[in-house]
Amino acid sequence: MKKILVIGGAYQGKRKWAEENYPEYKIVSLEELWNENVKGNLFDGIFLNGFHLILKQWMEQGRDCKEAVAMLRKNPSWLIVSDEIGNGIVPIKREERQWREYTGRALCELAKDADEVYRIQCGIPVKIKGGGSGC
Amino acid sequence: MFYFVSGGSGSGKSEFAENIAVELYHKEKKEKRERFFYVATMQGTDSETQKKIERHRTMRREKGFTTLECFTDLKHVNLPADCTILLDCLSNLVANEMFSEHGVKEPIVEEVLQGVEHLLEKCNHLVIVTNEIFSDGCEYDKITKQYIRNLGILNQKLAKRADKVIEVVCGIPVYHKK
Repeated sequence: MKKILVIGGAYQGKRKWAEENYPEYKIVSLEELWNENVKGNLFDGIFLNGFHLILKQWMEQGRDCKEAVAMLRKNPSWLIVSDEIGNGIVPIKREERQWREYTGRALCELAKDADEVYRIQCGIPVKIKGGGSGC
Repeated sequence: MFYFVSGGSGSGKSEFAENIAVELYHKEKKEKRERFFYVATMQGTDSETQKKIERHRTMRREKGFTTLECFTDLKHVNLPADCTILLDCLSNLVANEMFSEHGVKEPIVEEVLQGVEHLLEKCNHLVIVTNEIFSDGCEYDKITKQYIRNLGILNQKLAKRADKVIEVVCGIPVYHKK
């Protein structure tokens, strides 16, 4: 199983596309994954959907996003779906700016590890990493 | 060569642009390697921007850039001929021209275009970093809309002028103009 990152704007059909094309990946929560990972149990075929919101929640609980991403990267295979949230005007609220920044950096880190990165627009995937079709 | 590099917040666009600039600079024949400039546009007005500036400085360390601060009035920035320039970033420059004390206020687009032409006259290679701020679906006040419009027009005009246009997505370059 591979490491796959799926990104794009909101409501572009990212999750649907990911589920249809990669049914073998199973949805987990970051909380459960973290609890197992800290015990040294790593997993194959993890599916995290709405990763930008997962990070937001993590941040709001006062937990370290970088640490969570570093731990997540130790798992041998995953499918992560996230909105791109950095393509707007800089938010006025500090926490929102921070969330954008953390999410952007986290996606850069995950993209480095990923075998394939897809960007979905209007339900259409464009492969931006991993060879084959796309840019 | 003129590279125009865009991307959202935290997309890795600055790091990518730096690496492109370093590559262009090192391709130059030795006698042409006059100078290597980083034109910085962000004003460190609070701890958050200062932290951001520090992060960028750390990233640039040992890449050989001479940093030149230019918050407004790009067309009068003093540079030697045959240099390689990285300007990071256009969105700050436009904000400074519109909102800061020394900004030109109007007309922004012409002012910035003249500034870029001035750089192009001086340098062998230019890399400009801009920003994707156009897709958050929010309604803004008049002045913010004007800012978005100015940057949008500049992005179009400079993309036309550039040899290569690249959008950085999660650290991955997506070429819109090769």
